[in-house]
Amino acid sequence: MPEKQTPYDHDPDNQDQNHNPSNHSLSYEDVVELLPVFVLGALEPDEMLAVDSYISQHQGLIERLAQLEATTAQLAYAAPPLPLPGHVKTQLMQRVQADLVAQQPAALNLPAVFPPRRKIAASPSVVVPPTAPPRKPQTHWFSTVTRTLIGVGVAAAMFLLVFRMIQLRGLANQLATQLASTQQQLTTLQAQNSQLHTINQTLEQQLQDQNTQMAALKTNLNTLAYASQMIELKGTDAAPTANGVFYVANHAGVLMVHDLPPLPKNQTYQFWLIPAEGAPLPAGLIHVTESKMGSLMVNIPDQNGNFAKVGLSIEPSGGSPAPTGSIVLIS
Amino acid sequence: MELYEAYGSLVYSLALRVVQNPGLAEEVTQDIFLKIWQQPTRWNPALGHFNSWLLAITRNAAIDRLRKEQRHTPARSEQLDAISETSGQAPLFDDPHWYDGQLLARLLSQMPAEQRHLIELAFYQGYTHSELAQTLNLPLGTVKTRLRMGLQKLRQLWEENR
Repeated sequence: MPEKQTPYDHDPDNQDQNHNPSNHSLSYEDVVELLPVFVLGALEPDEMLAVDSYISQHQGLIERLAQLEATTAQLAYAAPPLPLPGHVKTQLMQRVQADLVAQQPAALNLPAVFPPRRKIAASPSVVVPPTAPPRKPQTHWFSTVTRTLIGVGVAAAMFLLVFRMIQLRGLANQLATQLASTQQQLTTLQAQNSQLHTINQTLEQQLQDQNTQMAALKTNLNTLAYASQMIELKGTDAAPTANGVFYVANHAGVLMVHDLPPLPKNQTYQFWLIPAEGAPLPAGLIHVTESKMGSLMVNIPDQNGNFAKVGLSIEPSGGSPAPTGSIVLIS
Repeated sequence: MELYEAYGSLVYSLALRVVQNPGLAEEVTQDIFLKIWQQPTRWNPALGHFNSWLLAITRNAAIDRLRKEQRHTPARSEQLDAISETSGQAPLFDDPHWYDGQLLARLLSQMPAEQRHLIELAFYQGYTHSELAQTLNLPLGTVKTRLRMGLQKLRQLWEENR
């Protein structure tokens, strides 16, 4: 597959391969094409500077750069995982200790300040009679100073050690803070995810309800289409403006009501098939919406087919075996 | 030493990937943690995650070491593959970035060898495009094009699979 040529592609036989974009003014397209090489760090140093300078003056390139950097950053993690040999830690600890000592040369390098006592004794300019008594005061003076300086050096090393430990503790604290922040973000995202899950469930439930209503409506429409009888219902004194229609088709019927006030939760409207003789038969509960409308699909078994009237009453929630409340609609 | 215990293997793995020599990789690893010991405040949280910063300075140090040792000879793909094969894929690091990195390694292995090889040499061994052109005896423009197309392909695969 032929490879796309960039503005800096050159024929090796005819053109200069050492073309340097920093020697020319870079165009936006040039930099866009050089970005992948830039994020890999594979440009020459002067080119890196030129591209970096150009990017800093063009905000539009920063996002492109960030996307590429996000990918190349993962390359660092793509190295094959290998366990670290145990002796490396020992060697590192030795280097840390050596570093501590090396930072205290003035305190611990005693010969630089005071020559060794052995050299003083051997110096020809100092004549010490063999029988002369030991110079106790001088010996004591050197010994005291040496011990003092060693003590100061050790104290300084200890101080430096403590200082480093405090600095490292600070670094650890920063990492802990960053971790806590990340965990907080994770918690927030999980909470948002939970909320979205709940919303999704609610929407799914609403969709299911609507589908159920659509199916019922379709059944109602079929019943209406094949209706052979239409019975009008009129409002009683309990609901004078209410009205309704009951369509009957074979063994099914559809009741549609209007201008009925919604009821509290502990009450419901109940539909009744009223035979010429005998008690009313319960035919279903109907829910009236805020728009004061409602519909009910009613199955009419054979034994209930010869009803003389229909009616609607207010009953306790769940309905009643026989009418107990106010009749609001009657045919 | 807590940092060493947590990130030592991560640093060593990248260093070895770059220098291709266990002894040098151990020295680079020690150098990195000694620097952190000497200057714990070098990391600025405002510049990003500690892990990313640590790996960035590891890569730079390893490439510098590679240049000083004058071992800047291109590792063959077979050698790089051999390291991958002998190392196993056990998750050593408790870091989600590591899993992303291993995914990227697999995606990288799916890319055309000519693009993958150039990306690996540029990123892990610090080759500039001029050095790549000279070492591999390729036109400079071809090197740039392969790097550009390779990285774009890698990014596309990354977006499709993450």
